Amino acid sequence: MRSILYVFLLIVIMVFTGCAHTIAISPDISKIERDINLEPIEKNVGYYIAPDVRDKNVTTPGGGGDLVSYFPYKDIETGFYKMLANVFKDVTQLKSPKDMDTINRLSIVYIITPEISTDSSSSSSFTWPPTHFIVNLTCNITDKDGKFIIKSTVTGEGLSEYDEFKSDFSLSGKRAARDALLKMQTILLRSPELRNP
Amino acid sequence: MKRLVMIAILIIFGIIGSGCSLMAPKYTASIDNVQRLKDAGDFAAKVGKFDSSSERSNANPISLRGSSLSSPYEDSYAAYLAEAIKQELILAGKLKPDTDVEISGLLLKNDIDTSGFIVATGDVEARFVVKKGEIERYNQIKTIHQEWESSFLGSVAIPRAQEQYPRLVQRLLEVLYADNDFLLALK
Repeated sequence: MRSILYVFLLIVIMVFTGCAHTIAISPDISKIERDINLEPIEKNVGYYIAPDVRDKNVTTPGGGGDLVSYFPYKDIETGFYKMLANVFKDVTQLKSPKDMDTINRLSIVYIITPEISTDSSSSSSFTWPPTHFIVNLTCNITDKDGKFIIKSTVTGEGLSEYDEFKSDFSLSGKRAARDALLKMQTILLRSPELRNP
Repeated sequence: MKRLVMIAILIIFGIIGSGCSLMAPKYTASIDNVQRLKDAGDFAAKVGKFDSSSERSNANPISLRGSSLSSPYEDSYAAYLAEAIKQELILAGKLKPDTDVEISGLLLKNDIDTSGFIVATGDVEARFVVKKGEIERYNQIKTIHQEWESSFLGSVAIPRAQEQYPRLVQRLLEVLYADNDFLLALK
């Protein structure tokens, strides 16, 4: 009888381990504000995320041998838009990097293509949400004809402990995304290349 | 044997549900929705009061296999909807608190069903009203129904449903902004 109990418990443990838990690392956009000491850049920009990139699903480690699964581009896009809106005069989501009709109609000066990579980990063996999250964000910026202007990369880091993440399993990811966006915002606002006439 | 059955039942309940109190993720504006508002032309609007009907299908909190999902805005899903519209108007540069064009509404249906082990569903329905001064220019109900992959495991199904809530509201607003009568009423 006892061996049946052990087999059952083993099955339960097998079922529990190796799960990919869905999270969303969308940062709170009300916390993505421009430093009032830095003037916005009076230029219109467009950004482009290819559909297959936007739909990219990523799985990285959580705690207790479990995994977390999310959509980095979809999740961060709204915060990215807000960050660009803080930096530039106007922002437009482009359907294609060569959408010249929209680019000319809206007087878009720069085209920004983001690249995002992520990683996560947990110091806990008993809870699955990550306690540590990394978001690497790169902005490739060209003019409307595709000429290179600048490329900047930042790393955002987010930490969370059990008491915090028990009501928001995605907290460390959201914090890392926000950190990356705020760091990128500062770099863009301080880039003289973007302010050139 | 009885003891074994009891342990098995307890473990199965542990897998299926968890009995936690959870918060829905804060709303994240949809850039497609924001772009739709920007493309709608020249207008400005403010967001008025959103109420909640007392219908049973208008759940608050939403029950997810014994866990409860609450709104992060004033503990009200009507306030969640108001916040969602406000965020998208702000990002589109269309929110003006001193304008006489006001969007208000009534949340009629708001529920997520995670009882299925394969598919979960979400339903949100709201009446949206646009007034210019005292004149009502728009009054219509919009409804969405969405399905997503669920799981036998509560530890998978519940967080997945929790993360779906903002997407349900994004979809409802996408349906609202696709209505040209709504956009015309704002001008």
